[in-house]
Amino acid sequence: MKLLIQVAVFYFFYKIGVVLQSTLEIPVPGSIIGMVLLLVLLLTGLVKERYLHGGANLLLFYLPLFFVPATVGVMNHFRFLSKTEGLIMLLALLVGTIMVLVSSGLVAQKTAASVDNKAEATGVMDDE
Amino acid sequence: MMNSWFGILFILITYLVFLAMRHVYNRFRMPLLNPVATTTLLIIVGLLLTDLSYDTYMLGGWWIQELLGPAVVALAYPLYHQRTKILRYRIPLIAGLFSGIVVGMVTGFIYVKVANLSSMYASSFLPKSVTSPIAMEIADLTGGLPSLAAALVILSGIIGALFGPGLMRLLGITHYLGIGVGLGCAAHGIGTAKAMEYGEEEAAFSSISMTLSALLYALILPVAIHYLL
Repeated sequence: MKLLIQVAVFYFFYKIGVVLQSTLEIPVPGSIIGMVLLLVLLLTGLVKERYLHGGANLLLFYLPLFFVPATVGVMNHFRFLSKTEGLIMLLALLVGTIMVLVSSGLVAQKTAASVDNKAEATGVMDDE
Repeated sequence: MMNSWFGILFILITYLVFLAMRHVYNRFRMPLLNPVATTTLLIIVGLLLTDLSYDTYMLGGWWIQELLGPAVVALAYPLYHQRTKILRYRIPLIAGLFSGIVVGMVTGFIYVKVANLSSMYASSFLPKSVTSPIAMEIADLTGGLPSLAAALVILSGIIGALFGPGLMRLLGITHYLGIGVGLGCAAHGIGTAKAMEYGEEEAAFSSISMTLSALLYALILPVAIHYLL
């Protein structure tokens, strides 16, 4: 029961985000606006971490499941994607996605190493 | 009445197939058996065999999809827990994000130019690395097909989750920052779901990358399409 109430609170944040998105025409989905809103409340201490902890864990445990209905929608585009033009597009998608993943991952990791080195050199380690 | 039975049936089927596929995945631990991909495949095959449409499936699917919103809100938790690390690594985060966006846009524009795509298809393809609601809006705004844009976004997410882990291991991307930023930039929400399997740090960096890249794409891409297509 407590978990259900917590999930309802997350849903409420999501709906607030949707309303904010459409009224202020922010170019970010309502769910992400709701996430930022909750994060601000957590950071300012207005919402205590323990209030919604269980609900957050439950929702995140099933996060992949919630993508399934959208992913099934790909079936409506099989006709185009199985034509030559569509197959080339799939190939471009594969190559492009992998290039983005590898380049952003490598750059982030390499830059992180230099941050670590600098922290060691100056002796500043603000870790836990 | 019939419709609500259909709805309940599809909710149950989706949930049970997902649990079974997650179980299979946990047993074999192969990235290619990603539960989102395998569950989707089984449901599509089932729908094709029974000659049911996607719209009929969505009588139940809609309720499951409705929970995606609150689950994305819940990503505030890993971000909150990892706030000190995010602040400490803000420079690598921005650097990784920036290179991901540049590479994504440059390769995207090269492809649509070389393949000589009609602007309708080009505008559906270019927002491929952005979370689907945004991709659909960008496509709509720039004369693309929102539903095709959503399908391509989802496919890029699946591609990232299926092939990302092996590739990153191969290239020595093992730091949570590299894994998180890579998955978040390339494979948005589905990538973030994958990042959660690694740990909370990866999940936090993946969701912040997904968020910032959606924002930047939404601001830059419509302008770029306007001038370059």
